[in-house]
Amino acid sequence: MKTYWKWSFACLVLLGALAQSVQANQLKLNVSLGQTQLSAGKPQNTFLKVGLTGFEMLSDRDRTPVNVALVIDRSGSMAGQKIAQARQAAMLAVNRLNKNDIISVIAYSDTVEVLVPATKVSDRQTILQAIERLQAGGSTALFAGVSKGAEEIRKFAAKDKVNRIILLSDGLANVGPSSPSELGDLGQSLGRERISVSTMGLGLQYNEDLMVNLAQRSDGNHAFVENAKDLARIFNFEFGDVLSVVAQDVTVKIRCADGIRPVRLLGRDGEIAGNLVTVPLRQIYGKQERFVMLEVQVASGVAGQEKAVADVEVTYSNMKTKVTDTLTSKVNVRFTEDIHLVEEGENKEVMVTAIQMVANETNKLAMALRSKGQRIEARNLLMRNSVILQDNYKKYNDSRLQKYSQLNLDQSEAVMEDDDSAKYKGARKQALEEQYIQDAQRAW
Amino acid sequence: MKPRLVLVYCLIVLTPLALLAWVGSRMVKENQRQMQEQMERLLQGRLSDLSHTVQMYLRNREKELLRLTRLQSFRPEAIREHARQYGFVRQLFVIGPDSRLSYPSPTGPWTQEEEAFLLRTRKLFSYRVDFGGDESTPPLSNDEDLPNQPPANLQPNLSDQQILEMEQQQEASSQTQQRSVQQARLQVRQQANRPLQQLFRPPRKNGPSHGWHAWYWERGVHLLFWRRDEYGRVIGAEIPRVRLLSDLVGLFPDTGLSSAEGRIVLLDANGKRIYQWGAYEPKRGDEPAAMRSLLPPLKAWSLEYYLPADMLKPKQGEWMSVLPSVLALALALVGLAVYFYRENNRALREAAQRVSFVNQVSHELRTPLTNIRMYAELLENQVDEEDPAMGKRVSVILTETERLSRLIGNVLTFSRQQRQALKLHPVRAVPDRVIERVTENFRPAFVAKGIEPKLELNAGGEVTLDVDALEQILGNLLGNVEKYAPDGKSVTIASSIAGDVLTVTVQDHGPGIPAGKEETVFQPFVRLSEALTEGVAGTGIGLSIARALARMHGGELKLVPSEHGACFEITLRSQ
Repeated sequence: MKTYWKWSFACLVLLGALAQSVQANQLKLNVSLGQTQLSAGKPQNTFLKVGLTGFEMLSDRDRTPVNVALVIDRSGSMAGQKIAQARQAAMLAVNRLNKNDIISVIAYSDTVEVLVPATKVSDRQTILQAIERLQAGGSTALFAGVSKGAEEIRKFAAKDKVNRIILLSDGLANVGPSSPSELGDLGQSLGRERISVSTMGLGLQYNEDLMVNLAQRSDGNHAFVENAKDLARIFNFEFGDVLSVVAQDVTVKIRCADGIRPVRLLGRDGEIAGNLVTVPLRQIYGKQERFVMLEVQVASGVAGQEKAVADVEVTYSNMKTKVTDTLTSKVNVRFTEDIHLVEEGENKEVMVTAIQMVANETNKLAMALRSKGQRIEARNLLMRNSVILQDNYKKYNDSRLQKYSQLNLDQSEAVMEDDDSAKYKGARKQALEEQYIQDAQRAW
Repeated sequence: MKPRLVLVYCLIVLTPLALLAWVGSRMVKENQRQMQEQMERLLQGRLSDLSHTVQMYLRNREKELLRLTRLQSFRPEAIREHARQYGFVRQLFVIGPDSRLSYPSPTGPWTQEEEAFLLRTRKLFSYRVDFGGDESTPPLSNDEDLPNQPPANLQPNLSDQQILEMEQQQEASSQTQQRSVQQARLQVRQQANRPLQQLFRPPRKNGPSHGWHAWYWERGVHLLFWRRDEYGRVIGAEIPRVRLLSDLVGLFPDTGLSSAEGRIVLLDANGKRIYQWGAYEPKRGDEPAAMRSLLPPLKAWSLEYYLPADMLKPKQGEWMSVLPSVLALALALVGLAVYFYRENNRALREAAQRVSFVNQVSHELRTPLTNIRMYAELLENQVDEEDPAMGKRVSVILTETERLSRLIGNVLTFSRQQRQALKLHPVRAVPDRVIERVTENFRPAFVAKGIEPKLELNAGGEVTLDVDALEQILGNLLGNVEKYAPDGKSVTIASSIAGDVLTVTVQDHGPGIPAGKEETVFQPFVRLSEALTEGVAGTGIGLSIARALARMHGGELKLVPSEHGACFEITLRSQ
């Protein structure tokens, strides 16, 4: 008998370990509702969160090879410290790559120069020397720079690589298409091709709408680098992400059950067709969590009823095992007449995140109003946002809400400043970066 | 040096130079024109190559799109899934065999993207879009004729102004987009409910089955790709404009260190720069050296080639190539001119030397001659009348010395004439006396030849004249008579004075001057036909000297027509 127990125990341990190891090579899917219990008898809205967490790819050898294009603004305004820091940052980036990676370096002013055509990072010296040659002067053909970057990426683009354009700019694009919507469309187009564009805005003069749109629609990162000295650090973060991609082509499909109507996606582009919601998440880095937040309207239910809310299916290319994985999950909701149960049934984490994201949408609206010159409306909206966040902070006691509330309050002052004041410019760039971080769940 | 000679030399030197310079400049201009043409052809060639690169790219895309538009399923969900990973397509659409839009469905439900697409293409699908109809040629179907006004029998439910506003609102932030989307939903639903006209013509029998459609929206050219399948359905793909631009930028060269001079610019339909490459920065107001539109379906976009001005302007060095040859020729010609001048001078010098020599000789001869004459005359005086033979011999000596004297006198005069050193020495004298003297000198010669002089002298008054000149003239004339007209047996000399003009005529009865030779006899060295002059000594300068002297004297020596023989008339003006 003892032997039997020993053996079963051993088997269990083995199975457990196996299960662990299997799971350590897959994304973790976590579908949860803001409220697991809803009041019966009336239709109401709640939030559905589909969270995906990556895993660690431990060794440098194991990690997915990277295909990176550095697109660097070398217009006249970059002269001096900025271009020097950009050079430094670029060289740092090169040093973090290994010989399986591919890098290209493109510099743009009024024209574009491909300093380093797409090449394996085997001859580091030549690449570094080419970066040394980077000099500033001219206007800003941002569109051309990004396009050339995309072309270089395409030379070695592959499913088993992480394809990334990293764009650095300090100024307003003034040669070629330069509206935020156009660049956003380009971002979407490139994103579908599995090329993401990370944008770094340097200083106070760049067009933050353009940079955020481009990054967001292609699922790259966006960062507001107020001081050139921070460039190297930001580059490091970015490369940290790029070198730790564990899943690509992540697609989340949420099929809502009967009586459940998808209202809106918060913070992400997605496709809502009838009761099917399709959201491309694209990339998951390391052990970070990225999620889709969907606001749904639940039809009125009967107390005691358990209702299916949605079936969730997630497909992605696993960069470690090199196969396409599919994960599925379901989520239900219960109806009750007891308010206390409703309160207890709240998923604090989901709610806090949802509240932040809703506030984020309001923040976007406020900034848009301010762009049109409606300072007072913008300020009022931001102040109201701040108050709501503060109230919710009291309810949920999550410091994130308080921080965000304070941020909105500060912004409400900044929007009263003039368009060309440093305070407003800085605040707006910061606001857009913050909006982006919320939407895309940037980890740094 | 005579001015005429200078002029001639100048002409000799300058004319060929001018000719060469002119020909050279023509050649240089022609060369430049050719080079310009070549340059243009080169530039156009480059632009054409670029244009073809674009066509190749479109052709590749066409292949991909042909595959993509082969739909396995026409369910909206499947179509959405199908196009999702393809970055080059913004939206697929399907037009059924009944020529109505079937996907995205005009009645919904739509995704946000599909709604936006319907709004965008509202104008496009409102009018007769010809996918493969009569007017289209693959791969472009024309759309420039898209009218801005809807046809009269199509009434939209919202005014164009409202639509425009909504379209503009599309560009705003997502919040406002939400609102406008709701409005758009309403509007598109309304549009779907209104009766649609037959939008698409039925396909031609052998028309193209796929192609591109360039479509103007928001002041830019957008591309649609369409394919008609065997059931008459049209499956289309909307290409995001910005992605097309981006791919073209990727296609075209970058500006590297080894970039050629000049700059090429890609422009959109509005003339806005999309992309440019090349080291040269064109200044404001610079005109492109060459321009070319892209080929359809992107013929609204164009390429411009800028070159720095100094590459276009003809090099000044061109002219420098002509200069050396011109200079060389100039040098040669000047050398030639100088040579000829020196040769001419030498010849002249030699001639002058010869003349001067002759002059000297003649002078030298004169003195002994005078002595011989003097003593001969003395001898004549001492001749006995009883010794006619002695008298005759002396007579001959006298005649011959006389002749010699005349000859020398002629030569000297001629020489002076050549040197333009003839001078008159007028004195007061009686012409008749001079005539008599001269005639007297000729007496022995006349007697020997049997010529009888007849004198009709009426110039007894005193006038101012160069006696030697008159003597020389008369002497030459009488000498001619003696030489050429002895057969006439007589010579008549008449003289008269009228005012200040002295006229002397000498008429002989010899053979006369043949017709046509009246003027040539007066030319130096001219002696009439050999028949006449055979056996007769003479230099041929007598008459020319006589005339020159007469003319110097303000008068003339000419031949006067006479019945037989020759009649010379001397006119001298009293000085």
